[in-house]
Amino acid sequence: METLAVEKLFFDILLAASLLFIAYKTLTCKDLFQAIVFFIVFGLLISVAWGRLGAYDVAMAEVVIGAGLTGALLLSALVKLKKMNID
Amino acid sequence: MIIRIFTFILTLLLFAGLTYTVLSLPKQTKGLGETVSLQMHNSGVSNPVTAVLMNFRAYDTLLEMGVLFIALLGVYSLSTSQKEKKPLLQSSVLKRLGGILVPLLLLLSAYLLWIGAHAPGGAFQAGSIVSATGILIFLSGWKLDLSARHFFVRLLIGTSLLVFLLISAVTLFLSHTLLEFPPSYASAFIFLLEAAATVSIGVTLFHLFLSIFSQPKEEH
Repeated sequence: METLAVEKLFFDILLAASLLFIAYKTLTCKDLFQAIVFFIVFGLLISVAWGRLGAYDVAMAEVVIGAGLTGALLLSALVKLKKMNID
Repeated sequence: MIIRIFTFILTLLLFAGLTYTVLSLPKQTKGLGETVSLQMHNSGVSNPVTAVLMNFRAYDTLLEMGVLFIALLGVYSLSTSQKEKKPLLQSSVLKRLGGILVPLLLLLSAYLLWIGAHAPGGAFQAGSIVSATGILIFLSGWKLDLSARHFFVRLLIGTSLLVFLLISAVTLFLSHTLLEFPPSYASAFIFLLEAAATVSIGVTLFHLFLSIFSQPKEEH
């Protein structure tokens, strides 16, 4: 039981650290495509965080909307931008 | 450089403000969890999240549906005629995979809608899976016209708002309070609302995606 709690704490710290790192990368990344991929990864990780907090409803919505739909929307907007030659 | 220092100071102030807020929160907040669990037997469902969203605060959900509808109208007013016919991605793998995934995704969405009464799930999750299915169909280039020119598609977009207003009227007659369900009919009302909301959320979110692609290429 003790070791399980330690493992959970370790996992949470790792999750929080990677969230901060991915958030930093999303904002500072020069390439737009890379930034979108980072954003999708961020959405997936934050849904894991919601799951760890016990909010499974929010986790589910986040995975589909935050990672899936918003990612698709951003990617399609990027394609549109490239077609119109706007950087 | 000055802008950077200014931004830094602003961010620092925001950080200090947020830290102060978090630290000054009262230790013991009762919240509304107890009230909700006391009233659960009247709600018609056993998942507290669904009970709050669809029964106790159904009025907020009604307004949310209105917001989604208005947002889509706004997007439509910006987009022009829908022209693009050819599939975006010419991939046989995507086409084959779509054939397997689309029925599975629809099944998953129906499952999420159904399980929402007892466990995490519900209209919003199910609806967003419907819209993801629509995007998959669209990207794999199936000959399925889902654009809003058709009256049927427009009807689907408005379904949840219509059903919500209809049920509001019915509850007004039954219990003289807007969206107050009688306990014996609550689960039926909630399921009806959730099913309508799923369809509308799915089609609306899909159309937000579709309207980006539908603009003609030679704009400038």
